[in-house]
Amino acid sequence: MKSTTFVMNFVMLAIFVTMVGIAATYPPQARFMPFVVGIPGIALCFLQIFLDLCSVRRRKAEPADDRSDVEKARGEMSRYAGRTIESEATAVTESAPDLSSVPPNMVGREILIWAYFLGFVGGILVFGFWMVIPVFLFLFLRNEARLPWLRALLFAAVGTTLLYLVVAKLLRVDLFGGFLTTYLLDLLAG
Amino acid sequence: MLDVMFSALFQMLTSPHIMGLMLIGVMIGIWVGVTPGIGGRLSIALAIPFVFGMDMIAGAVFLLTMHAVNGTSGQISSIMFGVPGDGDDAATTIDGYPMAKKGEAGRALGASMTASGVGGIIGAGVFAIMIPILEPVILSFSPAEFFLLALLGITFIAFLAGGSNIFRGIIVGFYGVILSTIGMDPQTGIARFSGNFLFLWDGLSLVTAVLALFAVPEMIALGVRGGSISGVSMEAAHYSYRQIFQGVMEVPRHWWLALRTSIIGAVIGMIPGLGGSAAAWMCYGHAVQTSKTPERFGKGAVEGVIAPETASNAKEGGSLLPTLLFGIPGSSGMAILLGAFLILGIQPGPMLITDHLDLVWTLIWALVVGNVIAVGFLLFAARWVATLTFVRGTLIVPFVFVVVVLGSYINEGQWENLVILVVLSAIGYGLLRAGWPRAPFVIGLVLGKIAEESLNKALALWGMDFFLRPLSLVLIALIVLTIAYAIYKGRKPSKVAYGEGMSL
Repeated sequence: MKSTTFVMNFVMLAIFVTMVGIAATYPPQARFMPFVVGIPGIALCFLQIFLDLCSVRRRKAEPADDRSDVEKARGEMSRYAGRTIESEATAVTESAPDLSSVPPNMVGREILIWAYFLGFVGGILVFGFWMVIPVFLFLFLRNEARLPWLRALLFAAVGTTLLYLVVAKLLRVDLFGGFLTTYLLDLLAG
Repeated sequence: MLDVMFSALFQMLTSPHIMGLMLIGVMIGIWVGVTPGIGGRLSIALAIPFVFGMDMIAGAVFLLTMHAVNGTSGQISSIMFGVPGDGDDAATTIDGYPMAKKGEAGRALGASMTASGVGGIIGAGVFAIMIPILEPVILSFSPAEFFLLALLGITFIAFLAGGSNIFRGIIVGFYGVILSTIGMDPQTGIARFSGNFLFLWDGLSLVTAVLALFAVPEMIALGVRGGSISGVSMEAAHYSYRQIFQGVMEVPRHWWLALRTSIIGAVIGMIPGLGGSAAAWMCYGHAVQTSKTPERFGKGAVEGVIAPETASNAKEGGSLLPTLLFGIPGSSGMAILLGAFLILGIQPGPMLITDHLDLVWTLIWALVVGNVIAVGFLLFAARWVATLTFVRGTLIVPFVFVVVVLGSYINEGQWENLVILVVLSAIGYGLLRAGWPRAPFVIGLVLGKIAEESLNKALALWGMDFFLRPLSLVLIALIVLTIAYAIYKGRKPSKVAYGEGMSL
């Protein structure tokens, strides 16, 4: 059993317990629905924790299903066809991205991508959308996509311009200016 | 009914606005289908903020067309490079890739795209035929049944997404429902779980929640893994239009197989919980079983391309039926589409039949016309579209992040939604890392308010006796049976031997 699975059980349990606890302070009509789903939710979390603990031994005995999409499909289709299906199509599928999980040896990279995302959102809150978008695009394209300086700069500029045209000109949406930028602009305006 | 049916088609075809949006939807759908790392679900999640406030019909047509043509372009990389875009396309790879290796990529593409288009059209036709059959059943539903339908929807989608891990799916679904209770309670006027945060009084932003649960986790995973297939040769992309035409003609040559597999696919799509890749697999199996020369399969048989492609596209029309008429999504993609429809103001259920039949027909026609446009375009431009397969994941990630954050903000113009986005993204990523299904969350969140409203009405009308109404008992039995089947499936040892072809 993956440790993240176990952690998620407790995260969900904590969410349900907290929300049911808060709902208990509401009048009966207002707390009815949170109770209707929250209490069974708590029970299901406990049940899932129990099932996960029970299945640890069984899972250890089973081989991991590390087949590619094509191999899995071949197995399924063989089942439906009632005969073995052989195909050459398995060879190149190893490079296809599997987004269902991230291997443990990539945790450092995982933290890095999260840092980009958090930095991007944090930057928007402080400096505003239009100041942070080009910087974020450039940094990511340069450092993670390994584009040459000039191309990264060009992609970031073109991307930002396109977004500006769509969001600010076509949809006429005023985006958040950022706390610091707005404060400084107000200060300058007197 | 016939006048509504054809006036819907006429209005759609004569509206430059809707046709323009449909064209954009087709182009985005094709791009999403062929680009590795961006699935159909993600594309709908990303598009939701931009249809917010749009006319109901135009927005729905745009999203549905975009979703419906994903599979049509996804097969390009499956056939040319042996790299399936998703589970559905994997079935096409089994015979499509060997055909490409034999120098018949054009024939395989012609056959698969035509089959895909035919499947999409027949799937929409099956949906259309089912409307008058199901109308009396749908109209007999009361608030009691709608509450239970919401629960059934969560159970089905939990089963679909989680399989034997159905409890995890239900937990995630309930998590969505409990989050839907955030905000002002319509009965007492109390702001639940909102504290002094005024922006939460109207409830949690559905757009932000969907983006956080689907888009951000998948982009982080793509950023970590990369997802380029640049090591694959582009040699297969050299084919003639003559080959394409030969492939197109394979579908009328195997019309009986195409018709059968389209109907099977549409029917499978109608059954929530079966969906996914099962339609493609079952129809491939059916093609093998009914072939006089089954030994050709796996080595480049054109029927092995036609059968899964007709089925996987016909499934979309089929799965639209429970999504629109019962509020139970037939697939995880439809779950997000249902959320988008609700944002646009489309309420699933009997009201659609009684008050908005024109909308239902417009959506059916959108499936047909969208597929025709996509097939026509791809038959001409597949070789150039195929180059999109080589786009590296790290090039896509920053742009998608920007669109996600913009979408979360644009929706309500509240910076607080960015904080909610980060918090829910962490939970969404946790679910992805742990292998928990995320689709039930969307159903829980979108159906939560309807479920609460229906429950309150049902209790006011019948008290606790509403559980004993005949239709309610049928729905309760379905919920129990689904859970029981999932538990049985989880306990039964797998028949498939890993790492080897099956022989049963």
